[in-house]
Amino acid sequence: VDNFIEFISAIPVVVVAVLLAVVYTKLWHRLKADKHFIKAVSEKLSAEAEKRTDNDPNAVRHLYLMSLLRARKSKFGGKNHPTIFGAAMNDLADRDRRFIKSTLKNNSDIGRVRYLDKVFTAALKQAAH
Amino acid sequence: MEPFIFKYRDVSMNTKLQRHEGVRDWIVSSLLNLIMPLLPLTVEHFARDTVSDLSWVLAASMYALSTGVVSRYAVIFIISMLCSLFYTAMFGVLLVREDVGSLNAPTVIAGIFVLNVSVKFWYHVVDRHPFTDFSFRSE
Repeated sequence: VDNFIEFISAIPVVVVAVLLAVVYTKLWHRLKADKHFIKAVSEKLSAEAEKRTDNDPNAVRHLYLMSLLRARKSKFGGKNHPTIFGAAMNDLADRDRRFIKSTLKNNSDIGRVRYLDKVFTAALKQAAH
Repeated sequence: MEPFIFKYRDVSMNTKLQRHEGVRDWIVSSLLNLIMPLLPLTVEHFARDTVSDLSWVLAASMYALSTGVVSRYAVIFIISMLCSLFYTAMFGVLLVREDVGSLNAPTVIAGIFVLNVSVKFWYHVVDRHPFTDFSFRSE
């Protein structure tokens, strides 16, 4: 009986240890996902900017925005993509964030894309500080 | 041409929580949800200079229950419930046989603590969800 109790008392330890390993693995991938996202967008942006041989900050910002939208559309980052995209958006005002959400939902209006560019300009200024 | 690297500060789309606020919420949440339930064990340790096996097993049962029932992850919820049921049964065993020891209860409590601290880090610091925003809890 003592051996049996000793044996079954090891089961919760093993189960919790396995769960810990799973959580740490997933957390590691989640932390890496942000870096991968920024790296992928930055690389894409650099490549396109080089193609255009254009060093205009406004053009670069616009390219960044379009890359971000494309990355969002292709669901970059898997199921974490809404959070990762949110992380890249900086300290935008609530109404801007609401606007971006709705724009992403119905992304066909060029005027809205221009508005987004304006919003990202403000976000980039904040991020530079 | 210099490669363009976008500098950004992490912030959730929904909550606008800054990193230091996320860390603050993570610490507060861990203190209230994970440290407070262990205070009776600390009291027993200071009062008697030791913690009895019965207390360890009962604490493991209640700790798994209290941390698992508020978990947002089904796997953690189910495993915590199973651990709680297991140590509840072992509490019964200890009442009739006092020589079986603590049945790894301190190890399991430590494991559950580390597990939940990690999950809270993910929730508050990485994904920037607030702890103190009570309206958010109704979502």
